[in-house]
Amino acid sequence: MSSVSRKPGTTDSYSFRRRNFLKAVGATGVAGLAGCTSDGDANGGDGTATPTEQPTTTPGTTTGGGTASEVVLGANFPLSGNLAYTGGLMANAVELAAMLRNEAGGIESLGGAEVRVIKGDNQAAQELGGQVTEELMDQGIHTLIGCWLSSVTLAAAQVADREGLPFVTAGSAAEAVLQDNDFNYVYRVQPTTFHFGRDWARQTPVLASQQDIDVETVGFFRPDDLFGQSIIDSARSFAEDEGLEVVAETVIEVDATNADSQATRLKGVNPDIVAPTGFTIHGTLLMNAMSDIGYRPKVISSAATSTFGDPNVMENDIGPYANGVLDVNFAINPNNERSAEIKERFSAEFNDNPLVAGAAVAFTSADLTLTAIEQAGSVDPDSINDALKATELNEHILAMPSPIRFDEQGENENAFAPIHQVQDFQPRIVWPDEFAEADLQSFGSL
Amino acid sequence: MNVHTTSTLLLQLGDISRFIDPFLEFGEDLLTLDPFLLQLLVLALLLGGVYALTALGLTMIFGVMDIINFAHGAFITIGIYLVWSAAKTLGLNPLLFLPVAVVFLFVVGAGIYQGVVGRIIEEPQESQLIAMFGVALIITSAIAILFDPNPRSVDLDMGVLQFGTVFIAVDKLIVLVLAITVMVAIYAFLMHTRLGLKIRATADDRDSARYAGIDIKNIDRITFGIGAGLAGLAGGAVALIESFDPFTGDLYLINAFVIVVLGGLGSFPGSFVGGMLVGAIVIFGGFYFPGTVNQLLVFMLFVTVLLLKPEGLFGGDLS
Repeated sequence: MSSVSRKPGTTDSYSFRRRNFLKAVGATGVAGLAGCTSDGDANGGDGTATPTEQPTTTPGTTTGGGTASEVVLGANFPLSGNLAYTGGLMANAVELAAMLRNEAGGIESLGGAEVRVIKGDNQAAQELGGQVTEELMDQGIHTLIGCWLSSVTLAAAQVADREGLPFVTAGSAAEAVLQDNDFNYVYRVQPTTFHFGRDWARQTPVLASQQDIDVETVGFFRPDDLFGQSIIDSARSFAEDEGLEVVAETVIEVDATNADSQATRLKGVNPDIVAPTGFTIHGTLLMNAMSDIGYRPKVISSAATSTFGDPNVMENDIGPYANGVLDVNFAINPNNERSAEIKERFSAEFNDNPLVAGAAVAFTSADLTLTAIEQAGSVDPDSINDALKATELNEHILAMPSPIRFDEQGENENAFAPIHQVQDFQPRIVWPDEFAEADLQSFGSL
Repeated sequence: MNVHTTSTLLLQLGDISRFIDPFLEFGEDLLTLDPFLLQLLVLALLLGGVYALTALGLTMIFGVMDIINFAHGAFITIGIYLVWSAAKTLGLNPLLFLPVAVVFLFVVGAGIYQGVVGRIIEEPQESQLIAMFGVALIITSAIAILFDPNPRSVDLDMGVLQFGTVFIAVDKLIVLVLAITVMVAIYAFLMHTRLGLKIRATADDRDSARYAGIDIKNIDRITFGIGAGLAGLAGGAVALIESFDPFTGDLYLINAFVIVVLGGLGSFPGSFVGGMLVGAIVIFGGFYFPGTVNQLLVFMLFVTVLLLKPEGLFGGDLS
């Protein structure tokens, strides 16, 4: 068969070319890790503030209370790479919170100071979480919101706490982010892997029994990162308490393009419950892979996979196979008028994109931060931090009890994750009754 | 032997066992002819076809021009979005636009040669790497701005074929057939056409080819265009089988580099076989080994082949 080859003994010898090609392979790997940050709005929408003249305020310094020309929020999310879709939605949600606050007159205790958002792109890379935080700080942010991935959030939190920058996280669920660290400036609104694992393990068998399905075994699927490991560790622990036997645990790379092996392994073991977790791409890959090999377990019950909160992805990328899947995850309160208004406004402002649950958490984190700044009446980081510790947010759009209030470790005392089911490609809360918007339906088919 | 030493030894034995157990499990499944092996083999062939297709353009360009095309992933992405947007806009089957992707990327590739590559071909390879990396960044960023990072997919459900206990996704089968067809077509082109002869002559000895009256610049331009066209075809194929975003092409790039070196620089059969091997390791490794060890296995194979046959599986002899 043909190949293109070089005449031996020519100046560009084969070994020289191969050596340089190998250098390129190495360079590609390094290039894949290298990053540069941008303030770009990679997900459409307008209103992104591109700073021209930077304020000189830096966290940790006292700027004086009472008045300030503006309040600057930093939004540290993945805006490029294969997680950019949800990351972009979350950054836009922070921007929406700022827009609504400005429309309501700005920060009144600061003389009506306008709120501005500066976005940073962490590319879903742990090594960039801290770097992007520092770059945002150099641009004069007063508080930080981010970073979705737990590993990136942890890196950002270490920098923020060291520098005395108030940081309300959004999207990171791994308990280790706060529990294993003694942060003073870091807070979390949403439920953690503890809540996900607990309610997943306790409620899945109950909901299955309502459909006359007995479940005894479970097979896990997770990405190879801190979030995936944390969720499954928690789920496994509670599963054993509930008498569920773990018969498989499959793992996928964070940037994988294929889940065929994992789906085939699960099919071989055939657990009663397949429990995936991960980001949008991971759930999509698994669902399509299972469909491609003709496999549907009795129950697909997800532990916080963002795939099953996005109607666009479920309808366009998975299809009818997505219907019937359960997912324990933070959610927007469907029984709240303000939720509907915020969802509609978000879609109108940002290219008809849905306000997915992760974006709702980012919105709430920003909203709470601005409320704290209002109460502090200052952009001094320590004043904001003290206000965050004391703030109670009663009016919010998340499906969890009110108020949002932080404990000594910075965790929301009322953090909670309902269970929803995919019905006609829409995530509908089916448990608990307080937030339920639909009855449980069958668990789907091939 | 104290307790600490004993426990360390036991821990090490346990770690070794974790690496050996998957091979034992595979051996057992092989001996008992576990039906899942056939499904895994089919999945490996299908995935290998995708990998082979994504590597063909890369080996073409390097084989003739000695250019390491860092923009190869970006070219794949252009192919993805071209097929998707054309099919969506015109409401037609995306398969119809695969040839369009080839032609479009050929033109783009020839243009990039004219504007960038032709000017740096005699420069040090480090300069070439940086220039092509810059081209890749520009293309990927432009696509992200034009189309935003929302994941997309083509609206095409081709179904699944079932043969006993084995399931074959039709879209992936098409990609495998495409990879084989393209390889045969490229072979025929290189061996049985005048232009193919000129390309082979240029790859063999640029100076002699120049003295023989071959327009080297034109050959380089055409070759780069063909390589880009093959990347566009690969991108169109990827669009058929999975959801994508502006960064999907880059996810295939590192494996494409590995496949090209594994198979032998400039060797099309080598790229095909290399793609199949990598596909097999990803599928079987992902099934039998814990965690994400399959990626480690790919690089272990890569290093092993380089140690035993440094020119690659189908590469020429070292000078």
